[in-house]
Amino acid sequence: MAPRLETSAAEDFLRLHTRTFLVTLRPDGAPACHPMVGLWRDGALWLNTYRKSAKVRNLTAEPRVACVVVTDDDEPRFRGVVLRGRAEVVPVEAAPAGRPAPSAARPPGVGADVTQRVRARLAEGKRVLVRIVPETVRLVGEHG
Amino acid sequence: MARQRVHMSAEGVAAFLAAKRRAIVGTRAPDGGPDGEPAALACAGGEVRFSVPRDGPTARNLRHDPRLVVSVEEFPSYAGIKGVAVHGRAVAVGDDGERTSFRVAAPRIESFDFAKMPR
Repeated sequence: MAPRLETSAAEDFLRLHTRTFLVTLRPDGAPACHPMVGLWRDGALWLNTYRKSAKVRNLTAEPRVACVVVTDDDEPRFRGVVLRGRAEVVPVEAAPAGRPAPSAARPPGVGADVTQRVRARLAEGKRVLVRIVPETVRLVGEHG
Repeated sequence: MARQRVHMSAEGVAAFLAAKRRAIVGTRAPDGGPDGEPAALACAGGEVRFSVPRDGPTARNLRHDPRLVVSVEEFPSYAGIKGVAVHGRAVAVGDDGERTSFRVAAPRIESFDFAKMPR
């Protein structure tokens, strides 16, 4: 079970922002960072990416990850949330039921054609869902 | 992704970084797991520099393990996605009592520009 977030401010922020930097560890222990789209659902952050990507390789070998979810760089009150926790690759069917699957949500600037392609790649198994359940959460930047 | 086909030129990377004031810095914490934090970025003359709160997690982590990645991206639209990741080792270059500044030594650069993706 996901722990309760320390502050409701973090959860409120995560519901409204998708700009996510996933930090993984490479086999040599050095950090790598992957800009992604992250969706907060049911106490976890959900990502989707190619099964054969370096990030999936990294987080399969070392499931500890960090995610930095932030506003746009030019937002006057630049702020974000840092989650640290464990990542797992999960079947598409495990997406939270009864509400839009993470693959169905569309971040700003992404057309329906891209969303449809992503859903098709998920269905054929070329892309996978990654669920990150946070163990620690901290706020960064100018939160009210 | 066939990254070699979508990477930026060295000049493109330098111009992209020079225009950015924020980055996400990825580090490894003393507990062994990865960590990350936004940083103030200042790149010029081919050098990548950033600052973070001196008592924050990034400065603490880098004292323990100087390996890092500095990640910068923009996402105005899907076809407009661009990003640069600078891997290297942090060297502290200044401290004003509140923030510590670092430069990235032995930088290794990865970049992507979705506008170059075959469609």
